[in-house]
Amino acid sequence: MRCGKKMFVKAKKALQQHSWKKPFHEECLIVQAPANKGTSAYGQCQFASSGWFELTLQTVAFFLHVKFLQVTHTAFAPVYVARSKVPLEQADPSFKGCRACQRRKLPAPQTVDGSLMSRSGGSHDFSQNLLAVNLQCTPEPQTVTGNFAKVIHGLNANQLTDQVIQRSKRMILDTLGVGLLGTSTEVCQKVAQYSKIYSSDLSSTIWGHLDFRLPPLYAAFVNGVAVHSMDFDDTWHPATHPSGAVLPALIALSEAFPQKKKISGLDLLLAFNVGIEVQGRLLHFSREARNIPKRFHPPTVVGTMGSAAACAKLLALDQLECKNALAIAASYAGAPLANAATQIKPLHVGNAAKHGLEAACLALQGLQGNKQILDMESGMGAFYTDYSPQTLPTLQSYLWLLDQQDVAIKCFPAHLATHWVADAASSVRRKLVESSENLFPLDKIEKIILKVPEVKYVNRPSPASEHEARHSFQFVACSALLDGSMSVQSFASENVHRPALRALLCKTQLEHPPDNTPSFDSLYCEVSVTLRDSSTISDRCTTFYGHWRKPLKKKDLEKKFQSNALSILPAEAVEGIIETVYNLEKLTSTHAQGNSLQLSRGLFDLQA
Amino acid sequence: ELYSSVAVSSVYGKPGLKLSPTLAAFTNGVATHSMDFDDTWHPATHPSGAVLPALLAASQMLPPKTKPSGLEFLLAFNVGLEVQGRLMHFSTEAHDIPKRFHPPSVVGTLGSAAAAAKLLSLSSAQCCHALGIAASLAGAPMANAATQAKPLHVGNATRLGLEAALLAARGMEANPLILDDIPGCSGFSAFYSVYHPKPLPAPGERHEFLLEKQDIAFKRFPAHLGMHWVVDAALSVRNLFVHYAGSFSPSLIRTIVLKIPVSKYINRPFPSSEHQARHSFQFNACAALLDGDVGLGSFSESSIQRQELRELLGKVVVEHPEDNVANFDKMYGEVALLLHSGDVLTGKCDTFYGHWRKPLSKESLLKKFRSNASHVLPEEKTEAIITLVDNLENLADSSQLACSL
Repeated sequence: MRCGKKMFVKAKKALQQHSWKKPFHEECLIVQAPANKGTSAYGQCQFASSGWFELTLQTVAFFLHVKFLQVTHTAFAPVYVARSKVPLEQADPSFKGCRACQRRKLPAPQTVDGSLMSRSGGSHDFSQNLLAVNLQCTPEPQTVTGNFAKVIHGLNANQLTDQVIQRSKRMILDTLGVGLLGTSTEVCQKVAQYSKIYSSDLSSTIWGHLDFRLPPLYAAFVNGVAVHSMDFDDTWHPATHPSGAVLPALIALSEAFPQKKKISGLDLLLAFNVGIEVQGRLLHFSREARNIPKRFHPPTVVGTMGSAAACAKLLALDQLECKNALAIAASYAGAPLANAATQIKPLHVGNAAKHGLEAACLALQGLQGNKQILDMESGMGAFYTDYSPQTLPTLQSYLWLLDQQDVAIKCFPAHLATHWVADAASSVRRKLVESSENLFPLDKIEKIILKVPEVKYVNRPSPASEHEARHSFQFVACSALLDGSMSVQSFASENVHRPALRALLCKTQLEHPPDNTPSFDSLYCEVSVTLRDSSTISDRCTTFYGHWRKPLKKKDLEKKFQSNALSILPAEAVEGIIETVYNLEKLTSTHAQGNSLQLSRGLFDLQA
Repeated sequence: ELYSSVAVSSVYGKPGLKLSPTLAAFTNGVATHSMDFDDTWHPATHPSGAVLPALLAASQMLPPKTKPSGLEFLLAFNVGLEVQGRLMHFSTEAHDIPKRFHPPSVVGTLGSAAAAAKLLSLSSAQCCHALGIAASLAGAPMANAATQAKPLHVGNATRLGLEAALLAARGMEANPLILDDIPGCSGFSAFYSVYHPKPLPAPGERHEFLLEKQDIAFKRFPAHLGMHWVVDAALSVRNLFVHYAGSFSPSLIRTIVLKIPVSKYINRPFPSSEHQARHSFQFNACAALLDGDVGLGSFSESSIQRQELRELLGKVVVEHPEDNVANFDKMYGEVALLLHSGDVLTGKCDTFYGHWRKPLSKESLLKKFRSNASHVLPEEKTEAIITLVDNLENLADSSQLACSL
């Protein structure tokens, strides 16, 4: 009976939320037609099992209201409202079914735990009847989608471990830095121009810009593009770019909240981690996902879902709305890999952030999708050839993936696989220089061989644009050999086209040893330079500095951020952001003046 | 309605409201597919819904002196259709009723991009990039069919295709080989397991539009196309039954056997929402049997839940004969009533009225339009639209069409 009362309160709130216009009695109750244990899968037989019950209820007009309640209760069996003049407490435990049902020799309605009670009055008049059913005792049908919604909804800040918090703050700082730097790119400028046509409800900052603001959706889009514009953002295992799809959406959304509804730093951290976690879990549903992708670009598949989950968390959507957010997001997911190494690739992350946010907003409006979107092959399974969804760990002692598997942070803006090559090439250069009187023997190089995994979209012998150069083993190897290390500048147009580099490129070949698997966890790169005198110098890199096995030290992470952000914001603002992110979990409000993530106001403060 | 600056584009049925072009396209696209009442082609997709809203919105976006004429509008529309058809011919998978990705979200997005690119007179390089950008915005899984989210597929196809064209117009560049088949790195081929692209005949030679050889199916009632066969079969067996028994008496029926092709997302014994009902062979057959026809009202909440219908649904059994292929060109629907008396009455339908093999007459099409439009527009406006569309190729300013909505 206690449970019944809770359900009553819940349903009443739900009805009010759905603007039930008709006045209803205080004793309005929730009735659920229980699902027989033998029912088959989703959607097909819900009326078969409860048909008799539904038919009897038909005599009363509440069928019109079924829809409202179905929205809030997610069990397979539908939920009905029965009006009653008899309060809950007077239920009769010896109920055998209302008289009409007894007449028809139909069994009494029973819940799984047998707690259904009713008192029959008069003839078939349900207004006299009192049916209290215990929704919580009816086991939730165990779908993966429902499970995800439950976890997204149920995770709270206490469950964030210290390591997860530390790692996510590092990711947040790095992502902001690369995003700020990215605002200077051509692709980002084009996208900002485009988005300006949608400029009402100007609540959200465009990182690095004072001159205009955008509605949250487009701010998320533009900032997301900025984050991935130079392929400088973090990478995870299994492979995706997790933060770029989530952080821009969350920040844009948090700026749209009214002053009264403050979002604390911990709220932001929690929502961020929900977004990351969902991405990781989805990637584990397919063995395909462990390797560097070939078909769909992962941020567009799992990133969209992660963004939807994170925004749903920040918006405090209920479980059903979370489910719908995921379902709606799936319909936006998926972009083919062929657009990698082009100007469009950054839009993949921008769109993931924006569409995830849009999905969450649509779910908040009540839009519904397929409640088994994560379970079905024709749902998320559409993006993989092998797909086996699993449920998440229990909420009681939640194990975050980020705790077990850190991200890789890039040292220079190019595809992650090129980082191994850069390390190996730099070390080969050092050896070469040592053995040739401290001069780099450019003219004496006969052949360069790179032993790399087979990844077609990073195999470009002669890249013509900065986007292609960022996705080229050959380019990075030669560039590192020439300069000793890689940096943002390595991809500037004059460097991409310089003759010395082009000459080296002509001498470069790739080999794909069969033991070199295309997985960021296990790949290696070997660079061998053969000189005219037939001597060969080579080196191999299995783990570059910045990989999760050899994470960047705090000062190097900060250095990267400073170097990125300083080109856009003044020094004070840059230090301010570092300070804020490092204390994120203690921040009571990201709106507060003076210490919030002032991603564009830096200049303003100075002038004031 | 949040983004209403540069609000120039009209929304169907709301004369006072204007939205920014892509959002107007979105809204109108969702409206078009909201009741699953829009047209269907072969290979399977909903071609017009993905293209028309974007064109209408775009036509209003252009400055007054450069408004496209009616003929240009028609051309852009056909470009959008043609691209969709050609893309579907790249995969044998596409000939059958879909299982993985919802076609309007795949080819529709590119069709919309192509149409918008045409209307906005983009250069050939820009058209190429528009397609590439659109590919990164394409693809929604089938699981959301028969839910409230399905109409978004068409809404997004038309909106995102328009966005892709606009981005390309501003110089955004994508992979110029997006439609080609490059092993190891999927472009558009990502959406199919079998993919063989072929070039179109060069413009200049007389181009044969696919629409010439393959017409479109128009729906008579708002439900998935597959339902139309089953309804026509049910109506014919109902006639037999009424002759046999004098009136339609469900109590005489022991079992109803439906012979339908295999397609999971339209096989629902007991639909519980209007979206599910529109995607349920069983529901549509029973509704036709009970009411003698299926129309807009058949999918209302009260109609879905009524007792007699539920009882009939309980008697339905489904069979999948091997020769009944899940393909809109080849499938059929058969309804058999097994009576308590032992008699069996059957009705079969190979081609329903509205299918491309038996197209709707002009009167029937106008009737459908008037009946639909009259829900939101007054009669003069309805007639005005009919006249405008009828004379579309002679129109000087096609944005008039959008304004009249």
